Amino acid sequence: MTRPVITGVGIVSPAGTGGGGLLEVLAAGQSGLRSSERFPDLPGIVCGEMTGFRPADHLRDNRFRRVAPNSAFALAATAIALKEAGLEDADLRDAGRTALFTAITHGALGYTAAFHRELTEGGPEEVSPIHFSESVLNAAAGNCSICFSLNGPVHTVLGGPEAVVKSIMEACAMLGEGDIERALVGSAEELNEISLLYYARFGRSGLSEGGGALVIEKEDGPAVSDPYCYVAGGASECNPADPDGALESALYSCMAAAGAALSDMDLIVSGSKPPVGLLPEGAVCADLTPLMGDAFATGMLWAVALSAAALKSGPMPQAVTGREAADRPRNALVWAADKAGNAAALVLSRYM
Amino acid sequence: LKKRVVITGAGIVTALGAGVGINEERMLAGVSAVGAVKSFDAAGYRGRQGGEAGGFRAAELRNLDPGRLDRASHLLIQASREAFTGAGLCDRIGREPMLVALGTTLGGMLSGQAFHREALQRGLRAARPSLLSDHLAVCQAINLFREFGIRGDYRILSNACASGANAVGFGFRSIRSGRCAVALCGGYDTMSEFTFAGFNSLMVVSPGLCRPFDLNRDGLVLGEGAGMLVLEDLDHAVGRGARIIGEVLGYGESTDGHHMTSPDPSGRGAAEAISRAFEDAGRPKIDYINAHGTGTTLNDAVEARAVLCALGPEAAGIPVSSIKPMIGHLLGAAGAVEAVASLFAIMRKTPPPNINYETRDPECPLNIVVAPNERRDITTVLSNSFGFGGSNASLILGEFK
Repeated sequence: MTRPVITGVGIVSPAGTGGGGLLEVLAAGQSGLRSSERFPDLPGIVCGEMTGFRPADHLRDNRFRRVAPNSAFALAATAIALKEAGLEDADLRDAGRTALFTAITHGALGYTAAFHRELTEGGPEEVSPIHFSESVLNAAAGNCSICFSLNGPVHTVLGGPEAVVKSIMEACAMLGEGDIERALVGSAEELNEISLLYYARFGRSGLSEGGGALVIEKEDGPAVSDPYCYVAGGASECNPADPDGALESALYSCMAAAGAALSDMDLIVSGSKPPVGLLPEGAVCADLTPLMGDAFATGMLWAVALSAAALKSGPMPQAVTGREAADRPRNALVWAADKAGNAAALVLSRYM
Repeated sequence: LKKRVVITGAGIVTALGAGVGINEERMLAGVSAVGAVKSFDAAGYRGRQGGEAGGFRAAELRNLDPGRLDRASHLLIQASREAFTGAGLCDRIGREPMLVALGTTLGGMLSGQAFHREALQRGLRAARPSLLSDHLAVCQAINLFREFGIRGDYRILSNACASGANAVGFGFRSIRSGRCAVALCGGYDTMSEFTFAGFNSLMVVSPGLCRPFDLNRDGLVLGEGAGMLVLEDLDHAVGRGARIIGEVLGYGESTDGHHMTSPDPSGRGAAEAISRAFEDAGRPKIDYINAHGTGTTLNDAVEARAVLCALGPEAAGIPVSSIKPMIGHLLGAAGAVEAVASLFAIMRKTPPPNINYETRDPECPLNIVVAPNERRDITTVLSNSFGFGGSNASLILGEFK
C-alpha cells in the first residue's frame, strides 16, 4: 500500500520563517512573542506579530500585493513548501491532480473590520470591493489557487486547530482513493485588535499570526525523494456533551487508523493539556506556543510541520519540550481539543 | 467496491417558505419570493431586491434556547430537523456516528456585523463578545450537534457559492468510499448588509429583476436560506427500512485558478467540474440541468459554454433553469438548496421554470425552461455551482431505481 508522505513544509511565523530547518532556529529558544507594536490601543498586550514580513521575499508574482495579510502568509508558506518539495517550477495545472486544503479559523480580520467600518461610517458608496472579496473565508485558498495555477479540488476547511487534521485526513483520503497525485495543506491567520481583545476576555493570551503549508504526496510519486515522514493516521470527533470523551475517542480512533498504540508515541505535540492519565508517561511532550504563540488553526499546522521535521532530523528542541531528548522520534502524535467538544489527532511516523 | 449513496431526507428554508412541501409547490409553479429588502435600509444601493426568508422567525428547538441562537443556526437547524424527520432518523440520532458536512460562505455574518457595529458605535470593549463567537461557522455546527445530540464529526467547507454543493459532494464521497454510513449534508447562509454591500460594490447586483440566461440580464439578487439532505449508504437505508427519495450518482469539482471574483471566460474550469461529475456518474443521460444561473452577464455565458463543452452540442436541447430569480442567490446554501430543487424535478417529473426569462441570448444557446408546472420525463439531473476563488462543483442526482 502506498503511504502518504510529507515532502515539503513551509512556516511563516513570528519565531521565524522557513522550511523544516526552522527546527534548528527554535533550538535557540528565542520566542516570537513580545509586546505589541501594531495595536497602540492595547498597551502591554503580548502577542506574536509578523513584523518585517515581506511577501516579495517569497513570491515573484506581484499580482498579490494588495491581498489581506492572511492570504500573504498563506502564499509565502505555500511557496516555501513547494520549493522544499522540489516543485517550485512544477506545472501544477495538471488536469486537476493537485488539491489544496486550507484550514481557516478567522480569515482576513483586518479587511473584514475595514469593510464594516467603511459601510457603517461612510455608507454603501464608501466600501472597497477588495475589502469584500478578500474578506471571504476562501480568499487565502483562492489566491493560492491563482498564484500556483491549481485547477484541482480547492477547499477551505473552517474550524480551530482540528481543521488542520481534517484537512490532512481529507488530503490523504483523496490520495489513497487515487483522485489526486498530491495535496497542499495550508493555514493562515492574522491578528487584529478584535481577536486580541476578544480572546483576552477569556484568558487566552499570547496570540500570534502567520501561515503554514505542507506538501503531501504518495511515497511512490514521481518527484518524491527523501520525505520528512509519512502520515500514519488521523481522526477527529465532535461531542459537545463530553469533550474529554471526544478527545479520548479521537485518540483511539487515530491509533486504530495508524495501526499503532499510544505507548508507541515518543513525541506528543499539543498546545493543550490532556486529561490526567490519558496519554502515556515517558513520552517527550512539546508545546510550541511559548515560542510561536497561539495561532489557532495555523498553530496546529506549525505543530505538524515541525513534528515532521523532528521525525526526519530531530529531536524536537529542548526549548519546546522542556527536557533533553536523545534522538529523533519514531512516531509523533499531534493533537488538539477544545471545550466545545472538538477533538482531533494525527500520527506521523518516521519514513523508512 | 463503491457503495451506492441514496437520499432519504431533505429539508429546506428559503424566501418561498420553510419546508419541502411549500418550496416544491411554489418553485415548480414559478412563484417569485424576491421583493424589496426589509431587514435593513437598502435605499442607497444599486439593487434593492432580495430573497429574504421574512416569514421564517425561529427553528423548532428541543434543547437550545431560541433567544440565544443566531439566525444562521436557526436556518440550519430548521432545515436539518426536516431532513432528519423525513429520513425517519430522529430517534436514532446519537446511537450511531454520523458525518455532518456543511457549506457556508460567511457563517454567522449577521452576528459578526452586529459586533462590528457595536464596536464602532460604543467602542471595542463594549461590544458583546457573544456576537463574535456566533460569527464563527463552528458555532452553528456545534449548535446543530447540541440540538440533536449528534455523535460523530463535522466538516465545514467554505468555498464561496459552491460550498453547499461541495458539502453534499463531500458527504457523497465519504459514504461511497465506506468512511461513514450516514451523512447530513447541506448549506446555509443569511442575508446581511455586509454581503449585500459587498456584492453591490462589485457591481453584480441587478437593479431590477434577476433573469438568468436572458439577453438583457444585468445581475443577481441575493437571498438567504438553508438546504439539507440526509445521505445514506444504500444497504444502511434498506436495512432500517428508510424511504428512499433519490440517489446521488456523481460529483465533480475543479478550480479555475484564474481570478478571485470573475470566472475564467473560457469556461474550462466549470466544464472540468461538469465532466468529472458526468464521468463519475457513469455518463448517464441528463434530463434536466439545474443551473448555477446567477443572472450576471459573464457567469451565465461561461456556464452555457461549460455545459456545451462538457456534454457536447446535444446538451443544447437539455432543459435548463435557474431557481435564483425566485429565491435569490443563497451563496453557501445555494448548491444544497438547488440539490433539493433538483430532487423536486425528479420526484415530480417537473423542472422549476427560469422565471423572468424573455429574450434568447446567442451567448447562452441552451433550452431554457420557461413554463411552470410542465411535466417532463426527468430521472437524472445535473446541478451546477460556481463561486468566488474559481470554485466549481457539479452534482448529478437521479431517481432511485
